Amino acid sequence: MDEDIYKKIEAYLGGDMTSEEQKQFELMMSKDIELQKEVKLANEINHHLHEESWLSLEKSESKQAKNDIEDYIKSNEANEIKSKINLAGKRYKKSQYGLRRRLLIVSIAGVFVITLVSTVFFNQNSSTTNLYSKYYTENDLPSIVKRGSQNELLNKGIIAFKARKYEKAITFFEDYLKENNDPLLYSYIGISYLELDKTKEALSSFDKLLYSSSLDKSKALWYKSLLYLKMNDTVELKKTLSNIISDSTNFNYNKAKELLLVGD
Amino acid sequence: MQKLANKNYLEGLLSGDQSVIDEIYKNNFQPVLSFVRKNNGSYQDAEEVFQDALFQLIVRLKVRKFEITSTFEGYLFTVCKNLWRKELNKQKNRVRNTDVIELVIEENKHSSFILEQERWELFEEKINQLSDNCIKLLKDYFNKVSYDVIVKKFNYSSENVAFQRVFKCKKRLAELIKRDSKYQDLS
Repeated sequence: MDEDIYKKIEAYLGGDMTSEEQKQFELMMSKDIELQKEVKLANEINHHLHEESWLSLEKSESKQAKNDIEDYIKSNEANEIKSKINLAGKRYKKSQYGLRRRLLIVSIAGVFVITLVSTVFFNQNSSTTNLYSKYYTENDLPSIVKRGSQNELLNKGIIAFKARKYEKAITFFEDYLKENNDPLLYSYIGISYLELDKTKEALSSFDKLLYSSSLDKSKALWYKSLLYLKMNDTVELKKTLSNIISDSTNFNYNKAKELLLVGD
Repeated sequence: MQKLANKNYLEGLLSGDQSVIDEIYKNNFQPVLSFVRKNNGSYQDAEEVFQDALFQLIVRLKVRKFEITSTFEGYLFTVCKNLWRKELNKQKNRVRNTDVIELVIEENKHSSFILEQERWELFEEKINQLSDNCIKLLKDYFNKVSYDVIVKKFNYSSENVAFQRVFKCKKRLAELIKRDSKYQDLS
């Protein structure tokens, strides 16, 4: 075939012929089987090279091959395989759905845990650490040294307490109390236990002060409030604070009132 | 290794081994789904394409003399891409001729595509026998890259020279295809 024919084939396939040229070319094709084949192949190549197009098979093409394929497709064996593929598709979809569900649950749980942790942390921050450190001050503790005690055990206890060596402080104070009667010292012992997170012992120390005959026994209510604040026990905290504000002469009456408002 | 992996998949598929089919699904469906979705298709479309490709592979193994020359994954993805390409073309034609409702019998759908895919593979094989320059030139030309761009890109002196090159490359490709007996069988 010469170049001129190829150009005509391209023009014909590309729709670049006038209707007259097209008619002439089709007439030429009808008389020339070789030309028909060339046009068919050129068309197939054009479709192949064009990325978005797909040339479907003509009905007359590859009849024998088509029949062979279709015979097999109709067989039981082919049908069984087909349904197995279909079932695999369903299993896959289900597993993906399950996976997505699991991921969703895990992420919801994650959000929940984060919320929970931050809530607890926040609460601890606001009602325990922050409020506790805001309201707890050593100045509230009765000044024992000022009272002119020359006792060595007591002095050592105070020094250890101020150095935050609470275990040592407790030992010194308790040894001192074996020979002396000073209920106010229970405030120091109680706070020491509280700092060591031994709330039970702290509470019992404060109660000893509370049920003593000391004029400063109302201070025990305040220390107990601090303890409940640190423990985040809002119920007991409110009870204790209410107890304080029931008598305006009680130690830290105003602070107790303030704290009750914060608590609400 | 590649042949062994292909062999395991093919044997599993042919015997209808559930775990093998599940594994094929697990390792190959996602890229097909992404491709179909990117090209205006749905999950259901991707599922149909994927299952047709797997089923047709079995038919080809049983009825046609067929061997996968690439990786199993590569083969499957290419077939799925072509199946979807055909579907999109069909949709385009349907829009053009709304009154012609084509009733395609299931067997016919598979047999036509299998033979079209065989033709596609043959053409690809022959294209890869051309020079790199020819391959690039033909792809640009048939994907509507303009002549002036082609002239500049390939350093041709004129549009006419570019056309001569396209023409020669296409002629060479046609000869390679015609000479192959597989093409005669498909015609």
